[in-house]
Amino acid sequence: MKSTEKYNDPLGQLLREHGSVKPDEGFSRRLLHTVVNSYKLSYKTVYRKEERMGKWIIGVLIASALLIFYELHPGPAVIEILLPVMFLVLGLIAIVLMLKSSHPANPRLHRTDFRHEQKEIPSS
Amino acid sequence: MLFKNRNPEDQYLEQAIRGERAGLEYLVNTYRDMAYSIAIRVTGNHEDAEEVVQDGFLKAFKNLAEFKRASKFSTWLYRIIYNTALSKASSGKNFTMELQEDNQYQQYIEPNAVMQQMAGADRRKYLNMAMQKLKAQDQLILSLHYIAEKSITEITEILGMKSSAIKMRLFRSRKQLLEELQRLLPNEFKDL
Repeated sequence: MKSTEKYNDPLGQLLREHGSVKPDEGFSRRLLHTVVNSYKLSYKTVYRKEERMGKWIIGVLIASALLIFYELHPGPAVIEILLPVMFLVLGLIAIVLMLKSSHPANPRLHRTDFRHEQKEIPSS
Repeated sequence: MLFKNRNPEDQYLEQAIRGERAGLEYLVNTYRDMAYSIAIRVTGNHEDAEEVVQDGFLKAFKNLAEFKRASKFSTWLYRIIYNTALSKASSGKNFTMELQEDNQYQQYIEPNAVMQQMAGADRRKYLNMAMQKLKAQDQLILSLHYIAEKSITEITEILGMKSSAIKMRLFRSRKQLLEELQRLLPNEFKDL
């Protein structure tokens, strides 16, 4: 049905004027109160730009530290200690990333339709 | 133009994502009534409908940061509400469509006795009676199309049905609603 027809349609007008079912005032107040109080701020989303900037700064700092370290001409004994430590740190980072990806912060919600099949919450 | 004119709803959405009360309040107050209409048409009673609306809003706001704006916020929200209501209806009793508040009007009312001067409250009452004669999904489709002013495509997204099915149901339910109204109130609705 075309949108113009929808607005000129007397049945549509009747439904718009009298067809909605409204909740009572008490419930409306409680709902607003619950939503506002239970809303948890997603810092990852709010500070997305800052997070990107922070990563970039950390990258620059690490690169500078490595450059300074190279300029100091460390002896073979220092390198022998440093290399295993670097691999350990990289391994730990990899494990943390793997754990994060297997347990997302926001688990997907499930729903059921008329045929009772499991479907995910709409992405957007 | 250097800056695009932004939809005011986008600003409220961003406020809500940042946890600002004004944004959350706007979204709840704007979409609460239609969400409740959807929930009550699926669950069939006020208690379950209130629970569904609350759960639906909480789910939506929990995932608000993930909302990518591929569709309107209302379409996304109504789909969550609809899915939550279906889960509630399937987990509980039978999928019933009677509204408790209207049970008192279930007995047949003599059409000719009613009709001369019908006030707004009466129109609502008879419209609800006629709506109850329709199937749950037909009521939903009519509500979404006429009250929430959703397009066929958006209704398709919300209910997860094909657009041809929506069109067919919309046509059929509209016809059935008219017949019911004309049967209940022959004088009032003879011109529809």
